[in-house]
Amino acid sequence: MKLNAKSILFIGTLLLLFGVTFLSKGVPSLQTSLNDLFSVKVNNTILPKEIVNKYSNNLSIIIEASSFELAKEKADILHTRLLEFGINDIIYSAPKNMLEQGSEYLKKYKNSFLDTDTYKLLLQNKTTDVRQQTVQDIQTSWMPTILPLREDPFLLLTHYVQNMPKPAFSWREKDGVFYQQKNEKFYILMMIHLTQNDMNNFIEQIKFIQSVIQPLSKEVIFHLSGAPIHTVQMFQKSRTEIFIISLLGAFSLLILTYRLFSNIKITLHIIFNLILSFACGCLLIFLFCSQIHILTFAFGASLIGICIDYSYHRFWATKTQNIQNITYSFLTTVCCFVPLLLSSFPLLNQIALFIIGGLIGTFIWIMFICYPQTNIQKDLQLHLCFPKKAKVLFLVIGLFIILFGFKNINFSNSLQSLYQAHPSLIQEEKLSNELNGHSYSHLLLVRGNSLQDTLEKEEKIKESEDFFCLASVLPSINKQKQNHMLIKKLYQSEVKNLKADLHFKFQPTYQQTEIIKEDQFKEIFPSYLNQFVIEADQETWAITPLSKEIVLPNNSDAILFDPTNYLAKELDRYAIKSYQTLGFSLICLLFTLVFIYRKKAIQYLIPSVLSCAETVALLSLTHDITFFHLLSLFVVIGLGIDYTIFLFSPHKTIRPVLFSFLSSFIGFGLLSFVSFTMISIMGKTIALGLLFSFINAFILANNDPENTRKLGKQLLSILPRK
Amino acid sequence: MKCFFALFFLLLFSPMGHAAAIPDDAIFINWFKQLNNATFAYQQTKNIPEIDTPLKSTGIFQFVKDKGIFLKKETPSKYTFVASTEAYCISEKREMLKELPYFEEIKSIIDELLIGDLTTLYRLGEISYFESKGKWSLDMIPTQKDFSQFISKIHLNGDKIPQRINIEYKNKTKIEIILTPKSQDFSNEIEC
Repeated sequence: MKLNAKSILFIGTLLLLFGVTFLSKGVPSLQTSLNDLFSVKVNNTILPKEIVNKYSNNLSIIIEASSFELAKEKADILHTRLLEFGINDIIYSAPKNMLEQGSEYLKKYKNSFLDTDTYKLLLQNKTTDVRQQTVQDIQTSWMPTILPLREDPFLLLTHYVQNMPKPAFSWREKDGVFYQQKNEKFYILMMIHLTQNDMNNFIEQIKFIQSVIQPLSKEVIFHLSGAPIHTVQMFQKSRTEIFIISLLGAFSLLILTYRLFSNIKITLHIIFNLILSFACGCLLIFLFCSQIHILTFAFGASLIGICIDYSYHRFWATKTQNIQNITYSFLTTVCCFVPLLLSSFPLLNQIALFIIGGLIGTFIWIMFICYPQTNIQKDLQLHLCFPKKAKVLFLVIGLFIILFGFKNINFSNSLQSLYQAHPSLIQEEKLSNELNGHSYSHLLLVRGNSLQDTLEKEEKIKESEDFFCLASVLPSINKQKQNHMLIKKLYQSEVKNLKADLHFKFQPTYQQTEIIKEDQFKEIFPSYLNQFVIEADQETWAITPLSKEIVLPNNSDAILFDPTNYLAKELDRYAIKSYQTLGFSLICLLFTLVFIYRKKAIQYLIPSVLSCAETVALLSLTHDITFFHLLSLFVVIGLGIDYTIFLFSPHKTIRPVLFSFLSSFIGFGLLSFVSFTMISIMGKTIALGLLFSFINAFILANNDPENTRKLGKQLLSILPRK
Repeated sequence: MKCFFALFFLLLFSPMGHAAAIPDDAIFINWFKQLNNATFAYQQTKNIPEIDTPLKSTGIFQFVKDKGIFLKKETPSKYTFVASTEAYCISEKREMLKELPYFEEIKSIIDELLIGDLTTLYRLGEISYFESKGKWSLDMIPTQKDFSQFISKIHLNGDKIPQRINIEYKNKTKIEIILTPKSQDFSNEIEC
């Protein structure tokens, strides 16, 4: 391929712009997690990514053995090796003698703790009721006291411990680890928080963990569960599949291109054009985005179809009409994707930038810079004629498919619609859930300006419904001061009566204790705050797993977050916005078509609209329709309109259209076999959509009654002759 | 109180003794295997080191297999506690109690013992059993952490049926419970 001055200038400008972009903005980061697509909003509050990622990047390892000692031995080895590798964020060690440690802590700061019932009674000045309850308990209860009577004659600390709500955590402590025993099997828990800045690094960590586990698995069983293991397994499998499919797609593209043109030079031109269009797409996206999601490139692969289309038509003919058609196609496709730039969903913005950038690049290149003359046979005039009745019948069948499909349609963005786990992973999750006791269904997230502010807000929520949270073990300073005051008052009014009732041998007196500060708490329980408190965006978030949904007061500083279903809710929200954007795209497309084709605009729009409806209708017979189906429709419209423009043109160039369709259909069709559901959805939707677009345009194209030929001969004449 | 009530029930209605040491035809084993419904009146004496006089209380207690437990304290104050298979409550106040700590664990231990599985008991402590001339006695030294930090020793004895329980706490508190069989039936009240 010879490069003329214009082409050298174009490529040089492109490289220069790349250089400037990288120098000024640096290399953008690649996002791979589904969480990165969304700013999770609950009750109009955007959750910091740190919270969302905290639970989606947790890998749970449960070591199962026939004895505690064996399980612990293997767990210790695993823990040591992980630390050596540099994986540090591990929850493995339970506070040794957690019960005693917790007990000592409560005893030291006893006056800071009051159970809810006693607190309410003291607040109402019902000190006599408190005393009477104490007398009853001391007389009859088998419950041991936390402190000797001399130190806690009113059993306030005992009542606090006795009435403390159970935390949503089923694991017990033994020898400094979290363990459980069920049916003569012993289980030890280890949780690893992985960072997911880079997918390759993420996979490397998981692979390393698996390689360490493998030799230790002779006498024990290691159960891995959690989102990371699913992510990695899906990613690894899909990567291999996509690689193979890409090779097959590229191979079929080469074969089709050469079959169409029988010319190596043109084939190379087209490949070069593809590379350029990708480069232009990347340039535009790098200019405006500092973070790019991997799904952008997945959907942006539709650029291949567009470039192929333009290249085929450009090299096929130099007739003005076809050059005009390429221009019209360019304008309509751009119009279709421009509304995506206005969407509030970053992924749509990125897809639009990438495709528009690639479109502009390829259009400029083939139209103005590099278009070799070809000696392609110019028997272009194919006069297609489908009888009117056939067209009507075809439309009726199409409408029937649409009606039947839409009758059964189900929209869902649940995890089950988007992801099918391997059966072995499902078993691991089941065990994990069982041992965790289905510990929590929701996370209570309370935010404040500071830790004290957050604790006070938790205490406010606990007034209506008690539950275990951070404030249960670390009351706010204001609360502690209030408790001190109430307890002192109780002693002043009732301690003599208590002594008389029970005939104490000693004189019970009020004993002053300190207020617990955050630093003191951290000294005793160093990892607790790290686990349940997150500092983000200059706010302090306290996270509490809840075993049930509680009713929150009208308080925007407290959020109930359901980690399992939030993704589905966010996708539902974006799906609704995307429907609006799709509608807007169709309107923009219509206006463009009106501008170009005037009264015939509607005719040009019909095949695209029909194909979208038929695709969704047919897919709905076997799938729930998800957000990703909807996203794929933008590509169907963008590509499908090209078929209409070229096939409806009086000078039909059917072979390039057919081969362009085949290359796109094969490419996207192969993607539908990928096990990564989202990619598979995209592949199926686009392949089916393009098929319908092509058939609709083919059949609904205007006929030329003066030069009609039999349908069969027309169809056969489409294939290129040697 | 609730936690140790469960412990009391557990010890009372568990066949005691090391599986290897307790003969299969032991008196208490035979009684336990046939147990479906048992009612006792109890007299409790509690001695607390810091208090001059012993604290006395009385009440009635009933166990119904597959249904639950009824406990009615009569002196010095009235108090009724019910533990059905699903919930715990205080009858007079119709007040549902908060979730009992370790409820699931205790329930699973009880279920195992009711089918004659003794192994669970040995996780709780060291047990020694003695039987002679129609009388038996059992001592338990708790080793399971949740109990051992509070309780020093538990002693039970009886002949055809359990008759006395002694509990010694680490803080030197001692409880003695004397049991007398009764024919009253409160099984209809075992629900929350």
